[in-house]
Amino acid sequence: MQSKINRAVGLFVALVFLGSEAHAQASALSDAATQPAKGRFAWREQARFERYELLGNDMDQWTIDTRLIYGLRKDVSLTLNVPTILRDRDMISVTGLGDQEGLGDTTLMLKWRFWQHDPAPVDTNRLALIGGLRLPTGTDGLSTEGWDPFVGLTFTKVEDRHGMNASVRYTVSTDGLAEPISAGTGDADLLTLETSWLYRLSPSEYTSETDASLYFTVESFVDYETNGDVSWRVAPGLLYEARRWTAELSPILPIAQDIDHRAELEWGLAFGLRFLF
Amino acid sequence: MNMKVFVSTSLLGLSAIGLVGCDSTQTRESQASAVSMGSSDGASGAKMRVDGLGCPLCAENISVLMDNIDGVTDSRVDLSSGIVHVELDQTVDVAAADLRRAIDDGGFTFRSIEFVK
Repeated sequence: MQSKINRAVGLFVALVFLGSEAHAQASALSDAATQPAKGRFAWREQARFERYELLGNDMDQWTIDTRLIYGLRKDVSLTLNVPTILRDRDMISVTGLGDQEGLGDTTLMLKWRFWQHDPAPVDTNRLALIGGLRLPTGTDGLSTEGWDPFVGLTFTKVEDRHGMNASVRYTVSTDGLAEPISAGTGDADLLTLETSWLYRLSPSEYTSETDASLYFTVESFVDYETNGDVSWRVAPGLLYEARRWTAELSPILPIAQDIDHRAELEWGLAFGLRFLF
Repeated sequence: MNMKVFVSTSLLGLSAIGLVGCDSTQTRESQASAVSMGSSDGASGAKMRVDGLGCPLCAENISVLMDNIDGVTDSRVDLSSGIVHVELDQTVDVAAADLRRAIDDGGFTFRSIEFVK
C-alpha cells in the first residue's frame, strides 16, 4: 500500500507544479461565491487523507481532487471535478471489498453569482446559486452508479481582516455504494451546511507593497442524511496567499457523529496548492 | 413517477432557470458608477479605482486580464487604496472601455479611470 500512497503523493506534486490559475478567499474545503474571470480557467489540485472506522476496522482513504473551473461569463462558471481515490483496508469487508483504487465519480457544477456588493477596495459581499450533477463515471466499487443532482446557495463576505463563507447544498441520491464511506455516498439524500471563517494574521493592514497574506481558517461541515445519519466536522487550518500562488493545510476533525449507515471518520488532513499564470 | 426522479428533475430545472437568468446586480452597480471614458490618446498610464478586490491573489487576476489588452505594458494593483496602476505604450491608443471591461470581467466593481500624461 505504501507504493500506492507514494504514487498518490507523486501525482499530486506533479499536477500542482504543472500550474494552475486560482481564485482565492476560498478556504481549503468549503465552497465560496468566487469564480474565475470570464474566459479564464482555474485549475486546483488538492490531496486529502482520511482515516475511517468501518465495522470495527480502520480504512485509510486518499483522495486527490482535480478541479477545472471555467468562467463562462463574469458571473457564471462551470466546474468539473474528477477525484482519484485510493482505499486501504485493514481487512476484507463483509461484502468482500479489499483495497481499492481508481477514479471516483465526476461532478459537473454551474455557479451563478447573482448578487454582489463591493463597498470598499478590499471588501466584498457575494451570493451565488449552485447546481449540478454527479455522474456515474467512477471505477467499479468507487462509483455510486447514480445520476445525483444537487442545488444550493453560497455566500462570501470579506471585510477588512475577516472573510466568511457559508453554503447550503441538497443532493438527491439516485443510487449508492454497497458500503458507503463518506456522507452522500449511500442511497440517502444529503443536506450539507458549510461555514468557514478566515482571519488575516498578516499583514494587519494592506499597503501599496503588500504581496502576500497569511490567514488562520476554521471550517465547519454539518451533514444530514435522510436515513438519519448526522455528522459534524471542523477543519482549522492555515492559508498562505501570494500574488501568484496559494498553499493550504487543514486537519479534519470529527466533532459529533450519529451514524448507522456508513463509516465514521476518525481524522483527516487536507493540503493543496494553487497557482496563477 | 418515482419520487426521486421527480425531485431530481425539479432541482435541475430550478438550477437551470436560475443559472441562465438575468444579469447580476453587480453589473448594474458597476454601470451606475460609470465615468467619462475616452481613450489614452498618448497617455503614459492610467489609474483606475476598483472595489471588491478581496485579497492579493484575487487582485492579481486584474494584472492577468490587463496583460491581454493591446497597449498595456505593465500593471500593478494597490490593495490599500484600490488603485490599479496601468502603464501604457504611448504609441497605442487604448480605449478606457477596454480597461474597464477587464475589471468587470474579473468580477470586480469599477469606479473611475484617469489617464496620466
